[in-house]
Amino acid sequence: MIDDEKTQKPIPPGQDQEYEESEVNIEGRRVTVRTRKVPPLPDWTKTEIVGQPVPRVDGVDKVTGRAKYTSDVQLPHMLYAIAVRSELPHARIKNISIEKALAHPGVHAVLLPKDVERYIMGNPFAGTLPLLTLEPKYTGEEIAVVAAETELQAEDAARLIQVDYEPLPFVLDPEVSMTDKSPVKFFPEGNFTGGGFGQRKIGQPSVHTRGDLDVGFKEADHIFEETFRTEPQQHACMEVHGTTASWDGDHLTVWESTQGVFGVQEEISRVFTLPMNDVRVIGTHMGGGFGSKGGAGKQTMLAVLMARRTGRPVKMVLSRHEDFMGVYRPASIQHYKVGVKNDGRLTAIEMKSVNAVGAYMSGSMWGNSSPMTQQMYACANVRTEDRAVFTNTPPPGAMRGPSNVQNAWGLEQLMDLIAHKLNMDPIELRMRNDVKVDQVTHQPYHSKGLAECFKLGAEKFHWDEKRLRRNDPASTKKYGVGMASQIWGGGGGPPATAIVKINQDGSINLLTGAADIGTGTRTVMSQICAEELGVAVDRIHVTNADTETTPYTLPSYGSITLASSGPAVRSAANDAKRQLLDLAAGSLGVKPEELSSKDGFIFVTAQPDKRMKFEAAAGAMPERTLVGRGYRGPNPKGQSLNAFGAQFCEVEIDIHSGEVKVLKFVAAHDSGRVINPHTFASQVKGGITMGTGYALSERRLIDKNTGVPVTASLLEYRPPTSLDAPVDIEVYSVDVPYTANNIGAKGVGEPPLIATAPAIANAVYHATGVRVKSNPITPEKIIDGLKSLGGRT
Amino acid sequence: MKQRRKIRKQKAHIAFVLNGEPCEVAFAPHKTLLEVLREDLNLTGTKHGCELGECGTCAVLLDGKPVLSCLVLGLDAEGREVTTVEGMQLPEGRLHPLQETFADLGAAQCGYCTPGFLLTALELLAKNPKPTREEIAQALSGNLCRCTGYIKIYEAVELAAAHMRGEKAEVAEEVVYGLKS
Repeated sequence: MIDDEKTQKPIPPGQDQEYEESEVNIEGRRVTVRTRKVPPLPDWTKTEIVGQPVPRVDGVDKVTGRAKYTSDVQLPHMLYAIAVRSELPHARIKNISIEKALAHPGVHAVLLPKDVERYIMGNPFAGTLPLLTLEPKYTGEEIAVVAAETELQAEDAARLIQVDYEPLPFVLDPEVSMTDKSPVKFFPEGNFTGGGFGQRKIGQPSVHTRGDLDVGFKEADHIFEETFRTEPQQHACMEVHGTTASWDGDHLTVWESTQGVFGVQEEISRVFTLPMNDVRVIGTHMGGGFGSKGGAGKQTMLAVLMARRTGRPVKMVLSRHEDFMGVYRPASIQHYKVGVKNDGRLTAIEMKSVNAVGAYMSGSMWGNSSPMTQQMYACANVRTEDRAVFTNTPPPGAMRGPSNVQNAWGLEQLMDLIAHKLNMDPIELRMRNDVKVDQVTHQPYHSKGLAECFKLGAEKFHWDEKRLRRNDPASTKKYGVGMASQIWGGGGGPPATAIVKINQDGSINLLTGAADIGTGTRTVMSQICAEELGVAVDRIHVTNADTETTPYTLPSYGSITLASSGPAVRSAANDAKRQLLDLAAGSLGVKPEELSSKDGFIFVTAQPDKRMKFEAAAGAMPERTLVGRGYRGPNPKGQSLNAFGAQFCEVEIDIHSGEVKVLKFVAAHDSGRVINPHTFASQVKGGITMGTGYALSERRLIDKNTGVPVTASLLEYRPPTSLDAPVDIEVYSVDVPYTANNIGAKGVGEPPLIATAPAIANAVYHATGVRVKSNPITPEKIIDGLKSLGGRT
Repeated sequence: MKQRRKIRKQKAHIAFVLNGEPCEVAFAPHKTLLEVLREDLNLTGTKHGCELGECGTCAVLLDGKPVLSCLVLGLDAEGREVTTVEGMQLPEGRLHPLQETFADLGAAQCGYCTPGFLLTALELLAKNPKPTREEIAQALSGNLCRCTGYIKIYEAVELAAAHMRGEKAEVAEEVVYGLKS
């Protein structure tokens, strides 16, 4: 992971010729890193393998059960560790009795807060977390850990540990926590801090301001004031968080279900003061992350410690119930005041957000819901204030499109509301406020295909026609259409390194540190490697996400994986190819630059029949192995790299039951070059499915009286099942050329989720006249809304 | 003198048919079939998602019917036939048509829910060789997927069903290059 301290190191003397600075945008956080200059490669004009719907290279492993996930790791003499968690949202622990637990059959050890207090997770920038605590600040916070020979023994022993609590007052509602009435004081300076990644101070919101609001509101013909609310969203990865740790002498191996093995390695190495080469983290297959597995978890450290203490491998995989007491997308309350001219141009936006971020600084930066307000539409006079408010709930984390997903729920509904008021096509309103320059950084967008997304999406959806359709007043079924748009980062950047090995039989090993969290990383990296080398994908074996055998890359978050590691893979393949062509040139009696490699042959470009097989060239390598190294070069200076998109949806609403059915989605995204249409479409369809859950069903509820989560299971939390998810989703890429990196691609991991929920809400309004300003859009809200409209539909 | 510790036999011992082969296994009697498969037989293709019967990730076939192996005691498998994802392959290691289409169409994204989907779909196609989209959605409604959504899964089931009926069928390629078409 990148932290500020590291990026500030001076450039070593004599190396400044080889390195330069590059900006990287990760989950909305802009970081400047020093990076190796990389010789530019020509843009791919015509590709053979890149752009093809190549089946996943690990598809067979996944359909046969061969793919090993962290929770599948079974080691001889392995122990199971389970945490004892706080039953109260805030308490002081007076005593912990462990005698009965220690006497229980199969129990090997119990760790208490005093045993682990010197190990602190996190850092001053991100905030720290105790591994175990004597003053739990949320229900489910870890107090002790027990390890036993079987899972059941560990569970029983955990129940035998008696914790004496002194209950303390707690606060769950951020709007109460912010006031003098709060029963809990989290910090002397106040109960909130700023959200986001800028300089943050307790007691002060983070503020973005430009222009003059008073001037802007004076210019306006209309002023809109609206409040939108979003509920927390849980990642609910199908594979819960988990770690297996095993010591071999002083060498530690950790299997972790993670989006970034190197971040986990760094954190373990730092917390336990271990040399990095003694910390091997493996995360080859993992069952979904969505931001929740960006780095090490508490269970990572606890499993490592427990394995050290007991001298046995230790597996600590959370239960589904525990998973629901962990990381999530924070809730938000968004107050908007917007000034608009009659022609639709925005003259002023004032936005104040309140975000509930748990009891610690750690995770509080995610209490931010204004980045789209700042960037999405042209407006000279803007002020946003984000308050990350402390509450007795678990620390939140990044979740797929953090901040923008919350922000889009409010902003994109607001735009729809304005369009209806002005009697304007919502697309037209958005186009009138289109902007080519990033208004926060003042840098132009390297490429912006939003207008193309509107055009193509509207055409494929038949927007103009469907928008003007009227419902049959006699029918209890009402139909409506809605759209929303989005912006995200996804430009990726350094550091990322890749290694391509050519073996003497012409087979290839690709080594990349990138995690494949289900998105198809292994597949698209293989395609990039194959394209550059001019060989078939099946000649490549990819090894990924293992700190001992693969080189460093940033974690798979922020939709940066493809645009970070992809260019490094191409560079590595190019480096290997150049070396092989040097060898082949001798055999073919030409200069290396006269050669090309394609379809498994190395040939003279001007005379294609003068050729040799790729494996014949490899067979002549004196070293028997050829190693190509590749680095991710810098991003272009002075430009903002962003992915855009627009989504259109059609709903059917039963006005008697209030039930909303999503009939159709059309998604048009600008993510540069599509490396693999299968994985691209999968991302978008999966994102829309998740967004449908955010819009209609998913809800994390905590009992107001006890502070205990009451939706801590999949059944109660309600992610979409096959009966809830949209069945008709069309996915398009607008294919706007992008040249900020050598593969021409930006990310598409998070963008598909951002516009989904507001598009549904806008369609619900279009169908019924009911504007549902808080998610999820439940049948009750629709029925109540219809009632307050006086039966008007 | 320290007394010798009393030890008792604590494991149950059963015989059943696992993926077409006779199988004997000893395990702590409280264990679920899911735990027996994963921990005592080292067949980790069957995944655990919630161990509460809510997600379908651990689905296996018991006497040909899909069950959630987290809700079935290992002891209940005595004398019965259990099919897991490891047993889906055809003779000579060929993939089952469902495995083939799930892999080819990208119906397995992170892949964690995939074994459960495959076995549920296997039973669906055994009793209904030509299911409609709605019937597939109904049959799979107990299996949760968090990354792929369900459309690719439906397409994979439909294509496999067609292949199993001996029909030549292909799912239309993903069209994403809108402006060019």
